[in-house]
Amino acid sequence: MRIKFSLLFHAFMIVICIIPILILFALSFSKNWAFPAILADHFSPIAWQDLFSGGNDIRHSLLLSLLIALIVACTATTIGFFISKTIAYHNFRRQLLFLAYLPFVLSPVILALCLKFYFIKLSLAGTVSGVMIAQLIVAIPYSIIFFSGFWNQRVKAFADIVNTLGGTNMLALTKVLIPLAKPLLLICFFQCFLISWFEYGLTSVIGYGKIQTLPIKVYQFLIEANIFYAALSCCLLIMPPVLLLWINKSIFLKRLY
Amino acid sequence: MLIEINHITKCFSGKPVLSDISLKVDMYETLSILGKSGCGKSTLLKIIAGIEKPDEGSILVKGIDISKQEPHERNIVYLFQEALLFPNLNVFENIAFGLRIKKIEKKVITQQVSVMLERLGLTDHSKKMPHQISGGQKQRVAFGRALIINPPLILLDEPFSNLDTETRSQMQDLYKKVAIDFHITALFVTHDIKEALLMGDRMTYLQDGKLKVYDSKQDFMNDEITGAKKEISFWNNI
Amino acid sequence: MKNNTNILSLALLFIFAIIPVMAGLGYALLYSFGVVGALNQGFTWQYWREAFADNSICISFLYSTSIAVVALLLSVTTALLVSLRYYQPLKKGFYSYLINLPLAFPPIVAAFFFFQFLSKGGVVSRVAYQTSIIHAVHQFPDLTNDTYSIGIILTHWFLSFPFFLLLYTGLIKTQRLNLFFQLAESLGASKRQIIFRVAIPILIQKSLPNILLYFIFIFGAYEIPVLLGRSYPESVSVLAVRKLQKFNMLDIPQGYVVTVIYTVFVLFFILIILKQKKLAYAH
Repeated sequence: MRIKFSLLFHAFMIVICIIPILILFALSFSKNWAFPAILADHFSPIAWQDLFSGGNDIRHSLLLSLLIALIVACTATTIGFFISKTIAYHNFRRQLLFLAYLPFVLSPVILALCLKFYFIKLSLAGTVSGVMIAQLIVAIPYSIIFFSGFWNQRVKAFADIVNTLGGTNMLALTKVLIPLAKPLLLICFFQCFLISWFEYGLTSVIGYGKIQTLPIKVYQFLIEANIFYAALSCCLLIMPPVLLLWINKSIFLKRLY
Repeated sequence: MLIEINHITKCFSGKPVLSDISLKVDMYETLSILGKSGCGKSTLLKIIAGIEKPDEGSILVKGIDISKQEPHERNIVYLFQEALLFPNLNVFENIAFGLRIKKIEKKVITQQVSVMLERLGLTDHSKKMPHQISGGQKQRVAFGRALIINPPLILLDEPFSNLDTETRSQMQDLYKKVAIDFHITALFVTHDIKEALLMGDRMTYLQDGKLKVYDSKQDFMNDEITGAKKEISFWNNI
Repeated sequence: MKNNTNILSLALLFIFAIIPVMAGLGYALLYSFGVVGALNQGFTWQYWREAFADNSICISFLYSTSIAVVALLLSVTTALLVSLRYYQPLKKGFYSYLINLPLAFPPIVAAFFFFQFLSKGGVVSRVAYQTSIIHAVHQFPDLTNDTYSIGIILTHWFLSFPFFLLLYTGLIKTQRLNLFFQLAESLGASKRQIIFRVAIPILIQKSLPNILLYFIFIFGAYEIPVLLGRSYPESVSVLAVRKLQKFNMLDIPQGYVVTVIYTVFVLFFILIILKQKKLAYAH
């Protein structure tokens, strides 16, 4: 009985963790996948070749997504770090944190629909900078909440020690606080990168469909029933997070020896 | 007279934590402040270090009012209960920290830190990271980090309370020796009556935000509220 | 200097987090009362009255709630069972990596995958055909865009199950639940009692803020219901988008009624979560 349960567990884990990725990759290499064949008639790397030769506009979306996600992640991590510090030692800590929660938990697409009017007025709708600002409205609160656990009395005591040893606040920040927060800064950067990389709702509404990041592209291919290109875009979308998970986990293990 | 504290008052959300505290510390003297937890001891030290702002009162060092100065301008070092060594720096660099930020010449730093390491018995550990050394060693490094910048006043906030009994008494001995060698002037806060008597040249007692200063150790022992008499009678009756 | 940086950070907090939400909510409110917008005729209760008369909004809220509840019940239960039963293999090694993989899926990719996997022409249907379980496409049950929203629920489960599994294996480790288990055992509790009286209550209590937060995310989800759902009933986000993005101008004020109700709903929920969080940390 025990063995059967274990077998079931292994099968279950493999089905939910590996099969989805395998199917997406298989589809991205497929041509003509007619019912009832389980595998496509023949496989060809043509979609991927197109990607590298620039034969389709997925490459443009890939680069655009990368650019937006990198800028959003850098900005949100930096700004969130400082805002969370101010909030953590503020008299209205709880109230401010509550307000910071809102944009992070609201459905992005609904938030975007409420904000569209202002983005149009500011001529930001349909522009890359508009999309980045819209994504920051979600990513910065995430970063604030993420760091709110970091600023405790112990961290404050570290900064105080630097002060009493003759260091300025700036020095406390660069020599002690940032080194202390370094692993967290890295994780927050990854997470903000993923928030932007995965973002669909805000990007589609504020970007007007003109700013074609990868998730927008996936949706478009689905509407066009172009499943092979959609699968290719999906593979591209999951690649950085899969990579980050490996790196992140190994960093984590290293810190614990 | 090195340091003079006049009429310090501090409230937290309307509740008085310190009321009208005044005291004087002479050059090369260690003044013990005995008090139960939550009596405002740490707040008093933080105000002197400049980490907290008092509602009222002034602090004079060698006759100069430092109340308005930022903590990093005061040159007064605060030592916490926990050693709080910078986890990203090794023992050597932790001690060198105060000198490095003053941009002192490398050669001088190496020389001064080496001397400090030797006097604190830490020479063998200079390359180790904070997580690789024991609690007592950490506290010694914290001492070295403070002493090396030659501060006119050191504030010790129950520095040995996290240590086991044996290490604690070793550290108390070490402190007495170092205090003489380095001509330390210090305020030593503790909730342990024995430690207060052992470390201090003079005694004070802080209760409910009010500070009582004793002229001699005998006066301190004779006062009922300090609990010294109880302690003595316990040991006599055992 | 310290004061200046504080003011700057607070200003940034307002610009990037507080003002957008307030301004967005304000605009939605004004629009829903006919004060702004292309059709504005001055203040009116008309759109709110219409919204409540037409029960599609009510149905959407109920629909989104039930999807979120069912998906979470599934993922929390499975995660609890698997984490307690298979704690050792999940703690380190191959599976500790593997279980992270579904977290690399954005909702839109998960929805795409489940469509290719579960639809009538999808992988499962083909396998069923090849193994002679079914003999024609139409015999395969509707699992996507279906009446019972099975596809939507499974996709949400796929995304949330690994999250809770990681959360629970982490909690078992950090809260040192093994000690509690040993304690309970020494007090004479059976294995069953340990799991149902000790382990599950502790884990649920510790993870309650996360469960509630996840509830809001599933409740407001858009990509998954829009790709795998039916046109009726619609989830709240899909309804809002349809009313606000499509071409019928008369629908817009009602769309904003939906967003206002949704935002207020979420607001209350966060208040509850923050309270729960305080409780969870207090223990």
